[in-house]
Amino acid sequence: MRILLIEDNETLAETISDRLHTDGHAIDCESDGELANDLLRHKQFDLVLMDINLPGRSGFEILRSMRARGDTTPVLILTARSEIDDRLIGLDGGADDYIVKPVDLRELAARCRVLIRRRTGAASNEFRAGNFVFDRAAKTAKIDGRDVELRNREVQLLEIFIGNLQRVLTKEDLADKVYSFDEAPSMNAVEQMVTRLRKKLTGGPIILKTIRGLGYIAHIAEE
Amino acid sequence: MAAHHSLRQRLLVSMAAGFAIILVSIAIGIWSYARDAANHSYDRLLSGAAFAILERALVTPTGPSVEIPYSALEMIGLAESDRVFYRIFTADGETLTGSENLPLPENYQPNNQPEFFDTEHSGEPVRFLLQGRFLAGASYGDWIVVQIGQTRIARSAFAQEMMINAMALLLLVTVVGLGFVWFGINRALAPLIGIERQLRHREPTDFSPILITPPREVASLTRSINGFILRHKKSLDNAQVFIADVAHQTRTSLGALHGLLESASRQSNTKDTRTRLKQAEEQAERTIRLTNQLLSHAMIIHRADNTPRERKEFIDVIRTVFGDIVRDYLKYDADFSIENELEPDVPTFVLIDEVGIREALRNLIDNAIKYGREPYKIGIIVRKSAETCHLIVEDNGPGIDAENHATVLERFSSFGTGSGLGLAIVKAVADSHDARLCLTKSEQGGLRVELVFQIAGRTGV
Amino acid sequence: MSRFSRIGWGAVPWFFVLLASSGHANVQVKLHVWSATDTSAVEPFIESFEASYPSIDVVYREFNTSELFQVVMYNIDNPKMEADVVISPAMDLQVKLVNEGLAYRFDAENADAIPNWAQWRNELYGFSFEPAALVYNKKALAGVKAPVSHTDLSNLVRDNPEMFSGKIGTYNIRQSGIGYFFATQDAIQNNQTSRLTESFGRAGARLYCCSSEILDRVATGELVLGYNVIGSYAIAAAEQNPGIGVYFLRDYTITMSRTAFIPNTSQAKHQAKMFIDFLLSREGQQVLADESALIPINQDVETVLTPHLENIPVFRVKLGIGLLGFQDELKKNSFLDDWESSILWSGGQK
Repeated sequence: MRILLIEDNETLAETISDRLHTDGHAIDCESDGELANDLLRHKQFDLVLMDINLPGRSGFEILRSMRARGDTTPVLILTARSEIDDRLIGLDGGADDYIVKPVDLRELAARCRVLIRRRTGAASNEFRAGNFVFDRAAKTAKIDGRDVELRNREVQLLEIFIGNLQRVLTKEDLADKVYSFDEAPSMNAVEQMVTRLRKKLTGGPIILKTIRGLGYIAHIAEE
Repeated sequence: MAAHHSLRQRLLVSMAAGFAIILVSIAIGIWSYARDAANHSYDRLLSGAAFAILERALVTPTGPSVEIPYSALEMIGLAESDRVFYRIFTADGETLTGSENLPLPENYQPNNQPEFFDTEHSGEPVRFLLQGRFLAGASYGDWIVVQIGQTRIARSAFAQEMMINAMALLLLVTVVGLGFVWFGINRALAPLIGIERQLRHREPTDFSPILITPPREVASLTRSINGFILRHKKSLDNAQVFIADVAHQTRTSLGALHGLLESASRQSNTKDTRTRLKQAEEQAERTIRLTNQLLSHAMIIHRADNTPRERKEFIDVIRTVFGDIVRDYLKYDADFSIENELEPDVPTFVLIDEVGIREALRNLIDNAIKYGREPYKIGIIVRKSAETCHLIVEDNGPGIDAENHATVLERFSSFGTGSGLGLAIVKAVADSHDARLCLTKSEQGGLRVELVFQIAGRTGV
Repeated sequence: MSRFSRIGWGAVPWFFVLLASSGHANVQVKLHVWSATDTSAVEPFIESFEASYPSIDVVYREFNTSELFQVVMYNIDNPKMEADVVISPAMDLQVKLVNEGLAYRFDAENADAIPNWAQWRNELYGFSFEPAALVYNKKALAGVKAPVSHTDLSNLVRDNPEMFSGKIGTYNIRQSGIGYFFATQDAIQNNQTSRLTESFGRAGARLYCCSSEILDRVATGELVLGYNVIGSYAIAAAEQNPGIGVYFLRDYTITMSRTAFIPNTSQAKHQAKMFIDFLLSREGQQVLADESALIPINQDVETVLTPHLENIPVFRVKLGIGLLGFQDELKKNSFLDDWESSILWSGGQK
């Protein structure tokens, strides 16, 4: 995968670059905001990691102009500001995730993976994670090459989870997306459906975690 | 000092206005009183003269007659500058003597009571007296009436003099009164000026309370200022202690890291080098965590003073914040849950700083993960009583003994390997929300932290 | 240019023309002064005034006190009345006119120099000092012991009928305002006055309209005694004629002031005011003292009267409402009736 790292601290840029490189990604580094913005206009990346405080042009401005051009490349914000305010950085503002410095490199790598998966999952018909493959077009899922039997609604559910990795989804969210208005699903039905899907995905890396009182969150277990 | 001036002037102006109103009303009263008194005095002269004249009225064979005594006019003449008109006539209007053309009030019926009236005559305002006497003779019985008029010069002068004297006295009283007011204002403001002087000449490092024996009215101000000085001093002290703490902690931590790295570079065999590097990495992680927590703590305290809390629906905030935090702990085998005991469809509002709540929850969960062991069980309970809203966080970790509950809330008071800041941050958040913080043992034997918030009223802030 | 005219009681008026400020090119203002004062007495003063104010022509008309009162009173509302200054020694009549609202009010420049009893309402100002005097023919009364009081005088007349019979002259108070004024003031001052009047009546006292007539007759010896003659005239006459003696009774001497006011109808109020201001001024008062028969009211001005009035109680008649008492018609009639019945008791003459 091709990743653009915009970071003006050279040491930090180097260590992050090293770490991601070992994960098999191709890394471009840029320390100037203005230059980075130009670069993003001409080249396509699979993921952008960027600091907020940059010389030339701030991370916010780069992000705004990307989204204004319709560039949907996932963006992970690296920030030294511990007062994270969703309205400023926020996921609403166009960034897909953020991570506070000092950065735990393992955490950073994991976040990157999630973002890349989300993107490839949405962009292509095939989603892969470890021994798990999901073909969106054929509506088939395989674990270790073995087919997983999925009903229509389970496929829909799986698609929703894959599209929202590491995001909390309430039962209401799921019901709204899986059922039509006139079906009036019970929350019990949603629970049972998630339970069934979880069982069918056993042995694969996708984990559907229940948070009682809140909903579900899907994540991919570390290989 | 301009403020002192304006207060003084405002007081003085309002007092002067009050005096002016009183002065005007008294002046009006005095004027009417002076006129009455003047009339009263000079009416007596007229009455006396009329009485003296009527006494001389008698019945002669040719009809009623009167001899005006010299003293009667002399008496009226006591009002030196006034002109006098008189007429003596019978009930049928026949003039016995005097000016024929004097004005009479309408429908005058002769009687023996004096009757006074004011009118214009001969180009001047004149006050007239009419008084009658019934004369009974052998063959004759008739009223004889004396009318005497006097111009108003002496009366006006008398009234004016009274008025001027009274007003002079009143003005004197007013001036003296305003003098007292001025004196009083200055006396009243003296303590304020004293406070101002004390504060102005103060060294920036002097945080002693203002020394003054205040009058009751200024006491609360002095107390407030002293309270402020105390809080400010405490805040500065806190900052100093914090800086010292931070310096100590980070230096220690970085020193350890540096030591480990140095040791690693000096090891000859690879295995030892790896061990040292592993330790260094762990130390670096601790340093990061420490730094984050220090900054987080400082931020919470800073926000408590500077960021106004917002009125938000409590459960929504908890859900959002909790959902957000949980993402960071997915790699652990942990059972997270929220138990919402609030009534559904009845929103409960609390004045909240969301950033603060996020930091508090994050630290509590972090502690649970750090000190507990898998499988973790971390539950949040939200419930409400009459006027309070409760946020309870329970874990299944080792818990904290009751006797240590107070100390763990202080900075750098860890019993384990942690920085000892986590619960201090929670405490700071509780303080900034005026919330009560209560540590107990959870049902699973772990720590149970309860934060009690005041519910914000319907209108909120 | 000035004109003096005198309208006597039933006499033919005559004009006295004085060529004073001829050749003056400026517009002359005529100032009409109506006065019950002998022309000769005021002439020097008027000349002096005209000398000081060349643009003012004083037109002087002389009246008897009663005539003056009546003329002014009857023209109370007549804007054509010429008078700009009204002067009379009869204080009661002047007060009555002022009380009727006829007078113009103004602050006289020299009012401070005038005693209080001689001014009223800032309208009526007294300017002369006029004691009532006893005049006598020195030759006729040579050797007679001078009476001390009015009562002494009464006794003297009663006890010497051969000396005084038909030879006492006094005012006919029905005709003369000033005579009536003196008589009423006598009545107020002295309750023995009727005795004096009666003794005059028994002595066949003769009655005259004016001081001058009495003085003329005392001079000739036709009269031996003149009672209540205006003092200034008496002293002036005595100076002219050494046969006339002037005497002031020692119990009291009625003193009045000749007063002046400006009628509201005056067309020359400004000039009238200048006239009165000059009359009251030190300079004017000095002119009165030095050149006229009148005695100035200003006490600081030395007068011929000064030696006469030493040690004599002077009864100064005060201007004011009190003077109206004897102007009441009923009272006046009864007073005149009483007086006439006393003075004519034994065939006194008018």
